[in-house]
Amino acid sequence: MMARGNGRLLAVIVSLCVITAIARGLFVLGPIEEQRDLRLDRQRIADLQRIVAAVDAYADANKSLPESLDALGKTPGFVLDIADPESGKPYGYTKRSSDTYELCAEFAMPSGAETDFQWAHRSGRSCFLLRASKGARSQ
Amino acid sequence: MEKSGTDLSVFIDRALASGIGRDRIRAALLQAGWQQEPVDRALAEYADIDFPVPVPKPKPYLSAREAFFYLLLFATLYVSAFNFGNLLFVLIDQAFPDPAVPNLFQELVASRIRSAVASLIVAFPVFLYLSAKISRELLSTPAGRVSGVRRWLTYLTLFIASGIIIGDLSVLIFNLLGGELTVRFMLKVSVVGAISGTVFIYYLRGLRREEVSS
Repeated sequence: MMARGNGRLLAVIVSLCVITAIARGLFVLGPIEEQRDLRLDRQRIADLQRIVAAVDAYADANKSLPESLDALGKTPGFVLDIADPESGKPYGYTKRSSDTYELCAEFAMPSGAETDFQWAHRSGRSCFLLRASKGARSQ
Repeated sequence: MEKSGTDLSVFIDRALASGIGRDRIRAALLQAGWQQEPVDRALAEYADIDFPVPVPKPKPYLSAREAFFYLLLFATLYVSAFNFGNLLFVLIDQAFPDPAVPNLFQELVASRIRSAVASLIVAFPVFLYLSAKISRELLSTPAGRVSGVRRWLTYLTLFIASGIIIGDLSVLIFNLLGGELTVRFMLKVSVVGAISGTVFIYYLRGLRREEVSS
């Protein structure tokens, strides 16, 4: 099945090709995973922004901040993503005062140039202190 | 694969017992219409020893151990070849991206790379080890011993490899006629051709060498 000299040479050549391909594959894997993390972080920011809009609308209607994010989700016909797209853990929400609240999320990477100033974050858990804007849209 | 026909063996047994020389027996059988290969194989069943009664040689039997090794050898070959091709395809896609494929599918790419690399890391070394081990054992086997498992699996592999090569050429010509020959496509066609071609040529040469020596 395998002549001494010929088979050995072929084995070496093929092994080199395989090793090179594996190395290249692992090298390419890095940037791909990074892109996925960036996409998830963007999704988290978008979710938080939607939550802010929902909180504003709730405060406008009920003259007070919701006790929790679940209260927002209770409005019929309105679907809100209140959980992390990757881990499924709900975003952190805490009322700080009658018109300020804190939103928290866990980010995979620090924010880059494309993120707005008020949403800049480190990697890991980051919190944002926000003030409900009353009647901002009715003007 | 051991006997070509009981009546052939019986005839040879009687002919040898009557003291007729092997060459005459062979000539008579060929004249009767038998093919060279089964005749030689049937004659080889009896030892060329000067003895009044024809001495049968021990027949090769299907060894479970042998079947295990050859099945594992070819299984790891198929897994390695397929995953190597898959990995190269992904790398080609990364180097020459198809503008029609959206970036969303990038995550599938990551898992494709991971599974191809993982399979290769496990299957390929096993294949190399088994290849070396089997060729070492072959060198120490007495000549004339035929392994049915090996022949069957080798011919099966040749069949699969030729099928892939034929398909590959067809796809190439199909796209040639259609006029769309991107770099990405040509590279992929070459990868398939190179892998299946190498497997085909290597095992064909192994078979030819074996058939010449037996």
